[in-house]
Amino acid sequence: MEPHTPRKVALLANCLLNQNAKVCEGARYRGVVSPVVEALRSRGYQLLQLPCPELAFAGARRWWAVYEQYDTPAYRAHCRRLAQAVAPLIERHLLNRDEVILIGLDGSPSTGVRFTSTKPDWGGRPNRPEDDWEIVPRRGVWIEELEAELARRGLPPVPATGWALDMGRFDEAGSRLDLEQFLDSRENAGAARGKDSAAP
Amino acid sequence: MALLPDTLVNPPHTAGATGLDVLGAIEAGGYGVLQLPPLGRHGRLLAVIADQVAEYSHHGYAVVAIGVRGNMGDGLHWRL
Repeated sequence: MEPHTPRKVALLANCLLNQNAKVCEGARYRGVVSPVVEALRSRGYQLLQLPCPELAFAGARRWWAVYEQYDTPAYRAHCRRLAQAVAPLIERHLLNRDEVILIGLDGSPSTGVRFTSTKPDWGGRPNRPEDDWEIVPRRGVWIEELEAELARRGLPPVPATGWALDMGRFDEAGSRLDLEQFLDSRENAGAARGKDSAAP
Repeated sequence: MALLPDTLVNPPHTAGATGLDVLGAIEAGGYGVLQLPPLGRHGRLLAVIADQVAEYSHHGYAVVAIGVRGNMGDGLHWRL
């Protein structure tokens, strides 16, 4: 039996491969978010698309929302079910010592990694474009539940970052640079681990 | 919306330079992708993906499914 060669695997927020999953007026690309896919494929990452919890919960015609609106027992239970569905795939990669990373969607109430959206008093009838929300450094609800499920299985945290699509004013060049820096940091970390394991 | 098996999202290295970049073609066509999991028992995840396909179909999205002919492990298999 051949030894397993560690792979590089990127867990992707659903909408990074599928902009149809975005709320109305939230899509910035036709289908695939090309800069993210190009950056990952050029560095040899395999892609593993995560389910979209919002689409599966509230459908394709849902309103936009902030963290507090999705921070409900029912939505968290839904996210836990999705996490339990996808966790075995992630677990297999981690147990195989594959290099696994997570690319979420910063600013998203569900898939935010470094940032999510907040407005504690939002509710009722939407009023776009007057509605305004704030960005705070926090995971989205889905990422919180996914990480909790991985932790329940005794798995290590997955290094993560977010493509800043939901931060209000989207800056593609800045987001691309940010992602490249994150991927560089993972390569440097991998190289350091390689040196450590090679040391006598 | 394109439903793609894992092997077309992550083609094996043996596909080489002659292999068609299906993800690239899908991307150029403006389709979003729903990726199927690799070979294995992923019933719960497949149910979630099926729900999403149903939701898109219900709202009139164009949904296509692309399989791999003759590849039992990695393709889509139609049950008629």
